[in-house]
This record gives sequence, structure tokens and C-alpha cells, in this order.
Amino acid sequence: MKNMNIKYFVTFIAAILTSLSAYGGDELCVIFPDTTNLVFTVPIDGKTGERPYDAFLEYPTEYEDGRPTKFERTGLGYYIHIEVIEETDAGVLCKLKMDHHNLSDMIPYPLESSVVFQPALSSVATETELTLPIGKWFSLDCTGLKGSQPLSFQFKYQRNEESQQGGGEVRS
Amino acid sequence: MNMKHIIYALLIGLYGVSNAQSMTNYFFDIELLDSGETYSLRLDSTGHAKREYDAFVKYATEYEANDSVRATKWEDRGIGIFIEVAATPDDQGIALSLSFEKAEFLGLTTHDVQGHKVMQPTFGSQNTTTEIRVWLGQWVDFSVIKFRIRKEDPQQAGPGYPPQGVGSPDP
Repeated sequence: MKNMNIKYFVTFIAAILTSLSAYGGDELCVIFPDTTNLVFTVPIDGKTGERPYDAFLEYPTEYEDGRPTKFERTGLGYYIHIEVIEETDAGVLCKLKMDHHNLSDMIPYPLESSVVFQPALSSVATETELTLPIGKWFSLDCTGLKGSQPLSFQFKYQRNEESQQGGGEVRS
Repeated sequence: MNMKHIIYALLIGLYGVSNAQSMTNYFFDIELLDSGETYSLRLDSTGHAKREYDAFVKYATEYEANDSVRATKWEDRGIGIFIEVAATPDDQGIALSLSFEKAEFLGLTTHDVQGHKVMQPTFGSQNTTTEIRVWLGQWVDFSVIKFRIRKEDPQQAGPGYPPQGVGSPDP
């Protein structure tokens, strides 16, 4: 009876450790539309993982007497955020936020007797909840974004024991 | 003798003040020869004028990498048009100190930091920094720009130098 209790206890501890390591060592691989050879890998720490923007743009939004009085800040580059909600038989249900923000142009505007340039920003972004299969690529198609060519985000939820690779991977 | 020095110092001071005041109604005009864009800056009483960049890109210059990559140092880079001018009149004309830049954001390029992919901005720039002596109203041609110092036309209130080559974007 005592041996049985110890066995249960050991199994219970092992189950907890397995559960912790499942989240702690997981990674999310992402391919953005139009970047087929560029894979971003985001480590998931606890239940969340984030790849911050690569740069930020600060630009004036309000002027007084020709001088800027108020500024806004926006991210540039690639942003990825994942929050793991739960793990099911079908995979891992997660909340995903993706954004590829780009500064397309600087547009001139007349302001009083002068000219100021304001940024024209473009973005390919999505925010969604998905169940991602573990270890397999999953494609999220977004049609109509670029003519008839479907643009798709691709995701792979990766368990740490399946791969020990670093943050960047280039697909050929 | 002391009185003579005091009077002399006062005269120099008054000359300096009158010179400084004389720059209030002056303008610095600059034209970008490739695009035809023109900017006019009103000089202040000291002969100084500045047009700050239109926006700033803040980007990482140093990273710390282990399981993930983290930016540890950031830099700001202005984009758009930057103009700073200092004009000092004297007996031989106007001593002009000019700093000009047209900086463009060209995009983000991929770099590898210990196995992690990071994106770094690339910039294009046309710029010049110069010190030159000019006459009032004289256009000075550089390779990509030309500029002058002019006095405000008393017939026209305000800067009175409409920008060319720019306007509202097409709908």
C-alpha cells in the first residue's frame, strides 16, 4: 500500500514536470506572407512568447505655429505575439498576433508657409485564435490582400524535444 | 583713457546688437535641384534658423542573444529634411554656416545575430555641411541644392515664398 502511494506520488510529480516543460521549452515558428525563406522562431516562456518590432518610428501628429507639438510612435518590422490558452488532443490552442509594419513613403503636406512630410505606413497584420498542431506547419490563408495571389501566414508549434535549433532558420 | 575704453566697448556692443536685430527680417531659401522642392526659413534675431527632421526611426544597434534575442542599445535616426543655418553679417557680406540633409528610409534588411533573425533599417542620404561667405540675395549652387539669404520683401507680409514641387498627395 505504501509502495503504491509512492508510485502515485512519483507519477504525479513526473506529470507536473512534463506539463511545465511542455510550455517552458516550446517555440513558435512563423513565416510571414511574401517572406518564404525567412522563418522567425519565438521561444515561449511560460505561456507567452513575443518578438518585438525591429524599429520604431516617431513622427509629429500635431503642429502649432509650424512646430510639432505632439508625436506618435509606431513599430516597424515584424511583430509576433503568442499566448497559449490550452493544449488539446488536436494541438495547442493559442492566441496569435502578427504584424508586419512598413514605412512605405513620406508624403509632403503644406503647413502654413512651409512643407512637412508625414509617413505613409503599410501593414500586413492578423490577430486570431488557432489550434496549432504540434510539430507541423499550419497555413492561415488571407485571400484578396494582394490581387489574386493568396497571402498566407504559416505557423509551426514546436516542442523543444523535437528540435534544439536557434532562433533563425532559412528555408530554401 | 578708461572712459575711452568704456565708450569703445559700448560702441562694439551697440554694433553687435544692431547687427543681431538686422537679421530678424531675413530668410534663408533653399531649393533641392532634383525635385524642385523649396524651403524658406525665417532667421531669428541671432541669424539662426533650424528645420528639424520630419520623423525619427529608433532602431537597435546592439543585441544580447541566448535562447532569444534582445536589443540592448538603441539609436535615433532622423528622416526627411533637416536644415540648420547660422548667418552672421559683416563688412564683407554674410558668413553662412549650413547643415543640410535629405534622409530617406529605404527599408529593413535581414541580419543574423547568433542564429536569430533581426531586421536593420537602411537609409539613403543627400547631405552637406559647409561654411561660406555670401552676398545678400546671391544664389549659391551646390551639386544637389542651391540657397541664398534674402531680406523680407516689405510688400509681402510673412515668408512669402510658396513651396514648389510639393502639395497635397494625389487622392
